[in-house]
Amino acid sequence: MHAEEGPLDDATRVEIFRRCLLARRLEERIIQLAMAGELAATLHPGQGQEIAQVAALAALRPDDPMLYGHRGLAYWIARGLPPERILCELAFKEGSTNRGKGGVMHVVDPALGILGESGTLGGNFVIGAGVALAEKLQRTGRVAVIFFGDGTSNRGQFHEAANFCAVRKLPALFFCENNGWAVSVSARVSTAVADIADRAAAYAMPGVVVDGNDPEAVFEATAAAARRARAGDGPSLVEAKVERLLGHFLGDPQPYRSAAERTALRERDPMGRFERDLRARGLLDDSALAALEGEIAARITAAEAAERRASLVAPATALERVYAS
Amino acid sequence: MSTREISYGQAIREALAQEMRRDPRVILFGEDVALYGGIFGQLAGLRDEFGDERVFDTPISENLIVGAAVGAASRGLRPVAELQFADFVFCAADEVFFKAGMWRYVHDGAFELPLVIRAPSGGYGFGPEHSQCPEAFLMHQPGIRIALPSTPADAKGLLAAAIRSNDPVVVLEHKLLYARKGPVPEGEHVEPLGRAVVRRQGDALTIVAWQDMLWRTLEAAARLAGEGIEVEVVDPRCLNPFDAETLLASVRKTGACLVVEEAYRTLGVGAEIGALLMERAFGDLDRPLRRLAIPDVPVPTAPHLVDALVPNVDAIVRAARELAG
Amino acid sequence: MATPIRIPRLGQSMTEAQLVTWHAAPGSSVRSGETVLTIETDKAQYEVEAPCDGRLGVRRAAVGTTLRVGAVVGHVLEAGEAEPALELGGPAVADPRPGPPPSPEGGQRRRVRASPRARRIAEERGVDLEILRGSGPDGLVTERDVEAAAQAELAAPAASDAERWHGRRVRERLPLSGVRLAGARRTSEAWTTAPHFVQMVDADMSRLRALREEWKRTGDPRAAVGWNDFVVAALARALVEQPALNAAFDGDALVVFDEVNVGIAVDTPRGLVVPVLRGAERKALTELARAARELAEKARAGALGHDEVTGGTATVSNLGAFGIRAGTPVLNPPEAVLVFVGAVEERVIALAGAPAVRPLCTLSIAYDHRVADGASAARLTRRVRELLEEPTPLLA
Repeated sequence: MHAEEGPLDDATRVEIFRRCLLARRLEERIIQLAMAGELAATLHPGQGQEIAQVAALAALRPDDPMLYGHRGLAYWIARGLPPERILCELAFKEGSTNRGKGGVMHVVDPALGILGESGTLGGNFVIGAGVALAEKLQRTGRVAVIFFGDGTSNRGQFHEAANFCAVRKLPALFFCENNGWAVSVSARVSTAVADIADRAAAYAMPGVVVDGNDPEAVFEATAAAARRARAGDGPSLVEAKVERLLGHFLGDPQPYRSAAERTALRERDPMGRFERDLRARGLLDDSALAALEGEIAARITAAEAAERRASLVAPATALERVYAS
Repeated sequence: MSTREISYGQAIREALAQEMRRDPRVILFGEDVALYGGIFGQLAGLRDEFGDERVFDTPISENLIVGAAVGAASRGLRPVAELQFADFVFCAADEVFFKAGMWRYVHDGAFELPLVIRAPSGGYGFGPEHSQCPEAFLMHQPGIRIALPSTPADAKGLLAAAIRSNDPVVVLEHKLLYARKGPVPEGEHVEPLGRAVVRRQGDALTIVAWQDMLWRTLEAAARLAGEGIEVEVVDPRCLNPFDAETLLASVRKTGACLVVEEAYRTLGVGAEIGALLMERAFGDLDRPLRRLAIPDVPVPTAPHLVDALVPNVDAIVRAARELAG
Repeated sequence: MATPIRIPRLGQSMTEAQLVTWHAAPGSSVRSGETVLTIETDKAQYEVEAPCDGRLGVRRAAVGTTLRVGAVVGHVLEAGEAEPALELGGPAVADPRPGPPPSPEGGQRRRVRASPRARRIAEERGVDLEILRGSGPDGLVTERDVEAAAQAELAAPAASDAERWHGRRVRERLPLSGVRLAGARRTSEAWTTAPHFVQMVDADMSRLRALREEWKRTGDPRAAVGWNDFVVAALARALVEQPALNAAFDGDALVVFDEVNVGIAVDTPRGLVVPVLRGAERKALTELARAARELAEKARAGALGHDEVTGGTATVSNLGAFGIRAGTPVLNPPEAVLVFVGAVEERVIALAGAPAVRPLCTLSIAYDHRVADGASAARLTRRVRELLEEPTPLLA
């Protein structure tokens, strides 16, 4: 899934929808299993932000290195990571990507350009800057994409990395998912600017705001930023306005959001809008959707079976791979 | 191999030049390293030889300096990052301890992280935040190798080994040693990491010391020899990996151990050595462990106040006499 | 099958014993019931017999070693049988000392401060760390001290005059026997835990002296009853009349005993032994005197049985033979009363306004203040004196 030259074609549009739906259904199933105590409840749900994540990655090359954000699992689905690996991660089983060392917050697969995520927020920026540096010096033509939230843009590392990448004209793409919340703290009381993209000006890089629920807008802004980076003109900041449909973590009672607000949010679920748009374009109908849902359900069932067959990571694993030599 | 007398600072420069010529993946960056050639002058001419892509100045952004080294190392470069003062490991603590120390483990070995952090430690008149020897803090953290060259030859050999290591290595360069001259092999010179060396043989007492404290200890040892007390001086050279066998063999011979360190006493390297001896050489200990260290106060700025805190030759002689007597 | 020879438990309180003598050599044949070794507890010496016929194996404990009850000190082997493997941990040697020896300076208890290396080498070379003076930091005994001691021992086994202890030249070091060690332990315990007070009273022994002379003249068997026996009898009777002092302090209660068992201190070659005359209050004078004499003889021979050295409820100690008049005795725990009997000697006393010469005996009676108070003790003290001065009730 990649059409970086744009504009967004129909096949890619449908594929983005398919991956968003797989991510959504898989996350829903994970929440069910976690609530039933069958999996670790460590995933930070990403519902509402899938479109921005998947559309952005659709606009990049499949081997462009990515440091992802901590909300949801659509990044990995977008990159083609098999769902059973995510389930194994949550169950600390063999077949996971980090075998219980980092858990589901640290899914990794360098071959798919999935480079991991800093456990402390902000670590992504400086590591991502180093990745961009390596891509540039090794002339790979790749762009390092760093996903982050509006809250994390308040970390010092954002400013250190943005400045450094701009100064050295590194092929980096700062992709902000602005959902307006840092756990329970609203951006209104934590962040001096309404648009994180405004911060790009401080580092002499382009900063654009797009509707994160509009796959086309996200795709095109990301593709433009990637083109600029590959041309050697340096980093860009793309800010996708999104909504966090659920709490910060599984079981978050969200006392900071009213019930009415939460109900309204669900009704604004961007996946509904995406589906209607595909129908309007004649790219989706009832039978196609049913077929897609059936295919996704089967895929998830197969992934669960694979997870159940896998063995728990052996305790001795805890001692391994601190050092390379 | 022929040797000639050069300074510790020149030896560092030689190691960098040697490794950068040998391996194009090696890059060098930090504050004031390029145009200025390092604030201690130890990097002069490297930018001219290797160009701006491989030797460049960074902004005052320590998180970025170390984080980018981790990111670049994870993508195939072999970065040598400089922290202008070793104290700055705490400015970049997230990147030093969590990223350099744990990024590989968290991702179950998905990456090798062949990076070096060079950092000048110790010294006089730099003030509390520019004079510390943070080796004990680093030694506590899994995942980080630590080299402590004391002689010009080791400055070259250990730095070269650090650059060739596939793990993060912090090389602490002692500020008072930059000008110290000594024989250094002319050609390629690499000292394996994790091998201590006995700098002076004796049977009355084992003294463990490194960097500036090593030279003070050797002076004390010469004085003690005049009194008929022959002490053995062990230079650990690395704290991770730590060559316990060389130390244990020495203590098995002498039955007594004094650790001299230019760092805070509580939970310092001496404390770890004491615990090691209790665990592995209990039946060989004929005297209680002694430690000479900074008595748990910050390092002041005025040189005569520093002198009041840091172990000196007289103190080493006194302590050794008491232990050996 | 090899049959182990173990240290027997010879009484409820016995936990360890010192090996005094081996009576049979390794390899010699022994018969079931034959004495193979003598052991000594804090109470007395005992003989340990071979458990069966056979040949004695190697000795697994040396003379002088203190061993726990149940420790295997050797085996009786059948013909041609090999020595069994050493039990894990070896013979259960008890701690060499009951506790650290008191330092002569300030009475503070002292433990040997030796480096781990010195301890290891001392064990390898058989050097007793406790007799060493440390030359290391703060008097730490170090390898050098142990090596020096080992060398000195090799060079001159009798060089003990060069030995020093806390700065004093040592002539020799005498290990304490079980009896002496036990005595040291018990008196320390008594002295440090029981608040002592002593009452002294003079008893006029004129009537008793007259009686004894009369019995000697008439050949009455009671002539064999000595001064001390009278004191034992008087104490037993006084305690029957005042049972609250025939008692012991037990944490939060007084334990009042149902019989009067009087310990009689006996000087033996191995130290002070206190055999117990059980049921003293029920015994006629002659019977009491005979029993006391037998106990004293057995004590001197080290032949007391376990029951003969335990269960005392009060003690009588007599140093009259040495001419001692009075003393401040130390209780024999857990007892609350100890009567120290001085010499019976003629003294000039004031009697009805005129000097008179009378045979007097001073009694120094120690009490445990947790059991007795001054007045209750005084009543007992007075009663013992009355019974010695007017002994008719003892003659019944």
